[in-house]
Amino acid sequence: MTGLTSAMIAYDFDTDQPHRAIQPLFYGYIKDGRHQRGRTFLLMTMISTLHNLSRSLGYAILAVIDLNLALRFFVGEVVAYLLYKLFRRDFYYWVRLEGILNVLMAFFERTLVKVITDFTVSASMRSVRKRVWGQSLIHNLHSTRAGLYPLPSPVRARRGSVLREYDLGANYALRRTFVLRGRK
Amino acid sequence: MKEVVITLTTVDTMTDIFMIYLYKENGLHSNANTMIAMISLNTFIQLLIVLAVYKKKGWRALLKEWLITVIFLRPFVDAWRVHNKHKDSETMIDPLAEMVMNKGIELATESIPGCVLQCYVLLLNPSLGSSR
Repeated sequence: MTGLTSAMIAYDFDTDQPHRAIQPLFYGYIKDGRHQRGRTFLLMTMISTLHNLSRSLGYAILAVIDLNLALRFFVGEVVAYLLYKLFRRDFYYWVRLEGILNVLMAFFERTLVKVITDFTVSASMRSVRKRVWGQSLIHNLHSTRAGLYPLPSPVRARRGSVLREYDLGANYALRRTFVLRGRK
Repeated sequence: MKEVVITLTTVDTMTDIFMIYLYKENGLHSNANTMIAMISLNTFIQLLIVLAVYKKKGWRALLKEWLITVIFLRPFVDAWRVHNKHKDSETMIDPLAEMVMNKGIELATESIPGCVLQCYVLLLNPSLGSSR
């Protein structure tokens, strides 16, 4: 359902004439024609669904290992993205409000779009005006496969029967490398 | 195609409610409560969006839109308005933008965290939902 919703957003934006008129270089990736549209929609749904499943499973495995670790990982990703936006002076959203409301609105919108794009690769949120794509591409492609990579690790010893089959070697390595650096 | 999508997005809430029931039945109360919290957060943010979009139309219209949100008919109504090219000069944004905004909120606060939660619960309770 998540993939379907994401594909529907992208489809509606792309087939909307005003959007195509404003950004002709980006919109128009869905070809005109009944069959082409249906096929593209189906493929977008499948890509979003499979990507969402892959990433959700990666996060779930991380959460089974250590719930706090999964939360820290999520917060780390979002903070890195927001810092990147601040660094590029591209943090504020186009809806202009006054004072703190402007910051809250921008924070809210950026976080939401980041979550949706990371989990569903929604095409409409990767347009030239949004510039979300890329920041966590390596993590997106890496997380689940890394989580399932069969390496022996000390984590295995203290896990239940479910995870014995998968193992968590690479996520454990990630944890050792990035998250727990400095801790003895 | 549109009709199928409209129907599917509307029954999404029913599957969520069934999930909560399933978790409660199996004694996974904290997970069921997390799911309820996600749905509540989604509804709360959508109510705020309705307030921002429809405040110029008066209390009666606002209450009607709030009611649509609370009884989980928002995806259906939004999709229906976009499909019929509904025009309203008193609202802040057009129906397509409103639908995308509501869908985005639903994805980020309910669907995606719900998917992670379900994977998490299934990893911890592999027999959940099976007859064995």
